[in-house]
Amino acid sequence: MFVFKLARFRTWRNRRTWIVLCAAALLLQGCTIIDGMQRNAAREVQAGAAKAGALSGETSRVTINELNALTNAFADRYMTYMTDAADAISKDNPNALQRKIANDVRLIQVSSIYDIVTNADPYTQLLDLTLVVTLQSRQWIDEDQAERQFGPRGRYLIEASRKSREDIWKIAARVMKPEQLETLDNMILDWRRRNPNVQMISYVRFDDFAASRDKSMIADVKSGGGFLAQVDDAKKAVDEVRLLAERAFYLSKRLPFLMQWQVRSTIDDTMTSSAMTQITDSVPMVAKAIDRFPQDLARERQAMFADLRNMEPMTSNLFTKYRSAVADTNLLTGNVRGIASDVNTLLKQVNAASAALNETMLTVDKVFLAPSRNAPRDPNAKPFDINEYTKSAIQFTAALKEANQVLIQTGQLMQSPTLMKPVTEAASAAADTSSKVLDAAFWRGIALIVAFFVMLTLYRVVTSKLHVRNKPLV
Amino acid sequence: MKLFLNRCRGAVLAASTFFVSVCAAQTLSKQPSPDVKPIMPPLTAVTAVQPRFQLDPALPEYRRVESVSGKLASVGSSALTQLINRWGEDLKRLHPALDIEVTGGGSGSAPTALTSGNADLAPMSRPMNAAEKKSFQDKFGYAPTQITVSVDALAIYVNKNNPLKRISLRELDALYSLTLKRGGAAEIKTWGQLGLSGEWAQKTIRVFGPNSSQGMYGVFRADVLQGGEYRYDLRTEPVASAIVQGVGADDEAIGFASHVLMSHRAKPLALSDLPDGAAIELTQDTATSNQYPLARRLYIYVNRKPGTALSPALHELVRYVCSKQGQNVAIELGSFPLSAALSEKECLSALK
Repeated sequence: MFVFKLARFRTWRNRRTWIVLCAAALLLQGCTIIDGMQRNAAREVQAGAAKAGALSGETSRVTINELNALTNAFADRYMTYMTDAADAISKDNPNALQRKIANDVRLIQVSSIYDIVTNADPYTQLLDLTLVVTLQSRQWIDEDQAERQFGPRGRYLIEASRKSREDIWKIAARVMKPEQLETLDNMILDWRRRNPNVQMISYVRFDDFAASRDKSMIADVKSGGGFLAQVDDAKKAVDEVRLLAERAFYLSKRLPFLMQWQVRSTIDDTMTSSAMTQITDSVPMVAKAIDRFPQDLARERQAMFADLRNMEPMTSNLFTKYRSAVADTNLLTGNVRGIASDVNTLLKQVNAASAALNETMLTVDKVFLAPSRNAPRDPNAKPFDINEYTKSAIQFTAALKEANQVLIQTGQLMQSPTLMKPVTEAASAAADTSSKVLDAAFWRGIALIVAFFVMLTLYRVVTSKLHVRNKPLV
Repeated sequence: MKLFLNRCRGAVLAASTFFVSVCAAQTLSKQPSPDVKPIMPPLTAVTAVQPRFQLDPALPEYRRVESVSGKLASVGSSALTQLINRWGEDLKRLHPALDIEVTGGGSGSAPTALTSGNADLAPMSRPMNAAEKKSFQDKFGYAPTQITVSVDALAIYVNKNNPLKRISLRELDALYSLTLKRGGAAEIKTWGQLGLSGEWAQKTIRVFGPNSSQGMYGVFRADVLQGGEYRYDLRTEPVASAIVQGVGADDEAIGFASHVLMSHRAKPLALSDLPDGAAIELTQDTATSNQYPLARRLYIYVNRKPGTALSPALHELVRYVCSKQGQNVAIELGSFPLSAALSEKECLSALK
């Protein structure tokens, strides 16, 4: 029979359909394995214990589906509590770090709760929720971390944590017996006592949490303590598939909130990084500098004008001097031109005087350089004529007069204010104002050149006289 | 054209602002920058308040003589569950073949389990009452053996911001009960009735307590209310730690629970019998000496026929619990340890 069917299967054209069906069946089974439903899912939670019922006021039985709905509803209430608390802490809070931590607390804690309620087994959800919410409330309230972290604003987180704990323990009281609740509470307290430094308590889970504890104690709490009734396996499988789809849909609807908070947390992380802290710390200073800029600019402008006003006399004086120097220079230039002309004239006169003097000297030589009495007489010599001596004397006198006149004119030239005063003033002005305005040395050089010519003339005159005196007259 | 000029002006203004900003930032960045702030400072590791109690050096040291084996079942008080678990874990390291299975259920379940033979040891946070003893005695012909293993105390908690320092048992009765069996004149509803003045005087007291399933419910009712009835608006909590937390979260609340549960936001009050009496602080000395009115012994009951010895496993457990090591575990879990004298008289005596 089996061989026949196998043969039919091998020859069947639509065997791919079988493969798909088998895969679907395996997938369905895989879902149940992944969800870990084998352990606890096939039970109906009953809150029929007299004490538990008396405590909670509930005497009805709680099914798996109802428990799932209770935990999902709790997760949404929890999100509301934490969102309100984080918003209240952040509202008008100038402390960026507190705002960031408040958002992080909301993000981490709410994400953790949604992570728990998407667990396959509602009873495991309940244990994990009770554990995590209790640990969170212990941290924020009993360990006083809310007030230490947020100061007076910590009361919002205290209220939210307290309400969350009350809510989840009410649900737990509908499912677990009082002694189970007490044992669970003691276990949580003991775990925290043993793990005082664990801060990420939102991701502690009951399986990990209970791993270190006595197995019988875990079994006592997690087994449901006899209040849970088995349900039909077929019904269990249907419920599992339906709950899986519901969980996926449930989480997908809440993901945008978590993503939004995640983005905000990332922004907060960026804004509170060291580099951004430096920049943001600089912003007020930059803003202040920008605010101050017009004032600074006006102040600088006023200071600049004040400096200009203070400098004005000096500047005016400088300009005056400059103008004076320029005028003097112009005058000097004109004078120099005049002087140059005078010098030229003088030189011409000197040349003329020199020529006349030379001729006079020759005449004198003729007169005074007479033949020696002991020297032989030139037979061709002209006989002595008194007229010639008279004529020479007249010429000599005239030469002397001209020489005297040259000397007088030279002396006048050297003492002439027309020549020396402009030169002196020009040099003085040049020294006073700037060497760029006038080079006094140049003018002094000109004066020296002029003096040199005068001295040269005198020298010629003197040497000529000495020469005449030392030579015997003809 | 005008629009173009306006835009040019705007662009120039923006560029100028940017330039000035950059310049100013560069200039000001030369100033010493403050220390880099931590992104998220770690929370300080603060757990439940654990006062360091003194261990009596005269307590006997536990030494393993020979390895024992066996399995012990414990059924009873949840208040002792943690202690017995820790003792069992420690003992298992010394005696690997020894297992202790611990089940809660409350003090009320302990006598039944012991009498029925389902438990080898019955931890209780109160003494076994006459009916429970009689039931056991009727079956076995002798009384169960009582072993004192630690000392506990009910603390009266108020919020840390509450200025109240002390309270009397009569005031507690007037606060928690309808019956006022301790002679109070009227029910107490406001903090002014407890002596607070100013803004506190008119504030209503919110009263926290255990539910009827907890051992503390009966203990407080017997010791403080003298069997009277709890008031109707008592805010009950399913577990004891929730009471202390409720007080810590609410400035105007009061509650009672084991001193082991003391937190950073709840403080214990000193107790007196009468409002004008001497108030006694809750300390190790006042608790172990029974001066503190709400101190109580924690017990383990075992089935031991007179004239016979305990089973080797049970013998080793009791010897360890009464020793220095065993009482050190009690300190670690926040309980008051036994003194050497108390250990000798009420603990080790069970072995003789």
